[in-house]
Amino acid sequence: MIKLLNAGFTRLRKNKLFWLLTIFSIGLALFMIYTQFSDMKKYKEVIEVEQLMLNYSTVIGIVIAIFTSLFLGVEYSDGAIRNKISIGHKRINIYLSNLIIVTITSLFSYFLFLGMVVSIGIPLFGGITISLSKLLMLLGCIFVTVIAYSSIFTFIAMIISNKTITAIVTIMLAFGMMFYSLMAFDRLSQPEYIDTMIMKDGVQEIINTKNNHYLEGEKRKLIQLSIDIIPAGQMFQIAGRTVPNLSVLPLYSLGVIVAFTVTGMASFKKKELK
Amino acid sequence: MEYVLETNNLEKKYKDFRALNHANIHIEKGAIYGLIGKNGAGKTTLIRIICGLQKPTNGSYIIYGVDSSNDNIASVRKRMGAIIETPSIYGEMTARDNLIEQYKLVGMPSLHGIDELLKLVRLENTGKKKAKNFSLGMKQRLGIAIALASNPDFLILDEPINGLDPQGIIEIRELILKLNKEKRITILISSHYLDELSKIATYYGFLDNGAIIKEISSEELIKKMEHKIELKVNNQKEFVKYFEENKISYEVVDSKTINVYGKYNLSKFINELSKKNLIVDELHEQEESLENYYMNLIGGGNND
Repeated sequence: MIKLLNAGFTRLRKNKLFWLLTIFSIGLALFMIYTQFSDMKKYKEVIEVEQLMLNYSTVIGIVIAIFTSLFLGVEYSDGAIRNKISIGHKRINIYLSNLIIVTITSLFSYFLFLGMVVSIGIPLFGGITISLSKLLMLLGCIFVTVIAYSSIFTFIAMIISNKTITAIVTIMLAFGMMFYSLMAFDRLSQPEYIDTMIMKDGVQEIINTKNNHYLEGEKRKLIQLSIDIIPAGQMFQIAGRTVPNLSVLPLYSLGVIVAFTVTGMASFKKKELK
Repeated sequence: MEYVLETNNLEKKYKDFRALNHANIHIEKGAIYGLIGKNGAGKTTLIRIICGLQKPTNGSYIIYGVDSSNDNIASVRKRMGAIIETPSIYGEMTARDNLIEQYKLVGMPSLHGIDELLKLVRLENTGKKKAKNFSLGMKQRLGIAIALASNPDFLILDEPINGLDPQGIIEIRELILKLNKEKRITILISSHYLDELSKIATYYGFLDNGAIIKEISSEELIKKMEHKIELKVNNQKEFVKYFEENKISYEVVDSKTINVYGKYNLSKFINELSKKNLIVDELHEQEESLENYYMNLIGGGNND
């Protein structure tokens, strides 16, 4: 396992994609800081630096999907997995080492982003406005969700032997999860009652009526549960700081990690390779 | 007999297609074993199974005395190096970086030896050129260098000369011979290029429709392919005595048939025999190529 990790990180250091990811993480942080700084100057807005720290979480799923599919896709297209097995590495170790490399790289990307925001953002916008423990809790949840994302995309990249198909499936899944979560989030955010204007005896009147789009009962619980489980849903809730129960999210993420990793290892162990 | 690899009735089915059908192969230590078979005969399937990429439907194999059902089979593969169909190379990396990667994968304590390996496969001057820009021959040679990174005792090369130009074929051939002679590496090499295999193999396995239909040493095969005169005789013992005294290469096929190997002027040869009262009832002159031998084998001809 150590040999696999050693070789994997050696390849990572020489990998163009990794350096692009590094530049992207820094670039995104700088871009966000710049736009927020401009808004602050123009509109005298108060910028909460902690919000900046959380914002990357909403798009990191797509970043992990692209990185994983291309980095691990090469393992199949260049015959690396075949080579690792034929020189005596166990399939479980190959799977786990790839998961670890993807996870560490994804977390590294987020840490890099955070590092930039903290080192430049705090001097520009001032310190955090929420308690440190609350911020650490939010960031902790993000990190666990990053691992969940990594486990899902590693699963796909290790099960599908074709690099192009892996890239299409992972990126589409990342966008799919994002759009679903946004739609679900929108439905759940609907108010239960809305003001409606009616005409009564020729007089306009505003009455408070039940919102038809408001989700109730089991359906509401089910949709809330789905975005609590889906990493993209978790990220939107964390970034929006609208999670009804924050402490439960890492547990769902752990469930996702275990389910995908165990299934992935079992499938990869049985997989007939060419 | 010490075998590096043995297979016992290996069988592999893909739905209705039987890629391997009770294949039995025996590779002795130190051999260059040429696995011959036409496209689709099952060569690559056999190699994939041995390398652990696929599981056999039935049967087993033994590598260095460890059975495929044993948990240690993965560990024993550390003594192997392999190129299966295409070499396992990271195209975005240089030859040196590919070797560094492999050194880390096999857990070599230091990077010493990489220069020597690059020199061995004549890629020492490739510098910063990425492997994806290498010629096919260079890629194959790099693939072999990668397979050699762990100092394997057993090297598996699946169709290593496919698509190579004549120069590339010669380079790979010389490299294989060098590895076998100087580093004493046992080599399994699959190919459908019979002529090429005949220049290096010390043992042959003929694979057809998923089954090994014949295993034969190169000495035996050369003998079979020699110019041969088949004699039908009655007094076989007298003939044998004469051939022994005159150091004539021969083989007793059955009680009435003797094969004499080598080129002779037939009329002079018969004349000499008659002088010794050795009467030939029937005579056939034969010459066989590896190609003919192979075609007879897969066509069901009897070459024994």
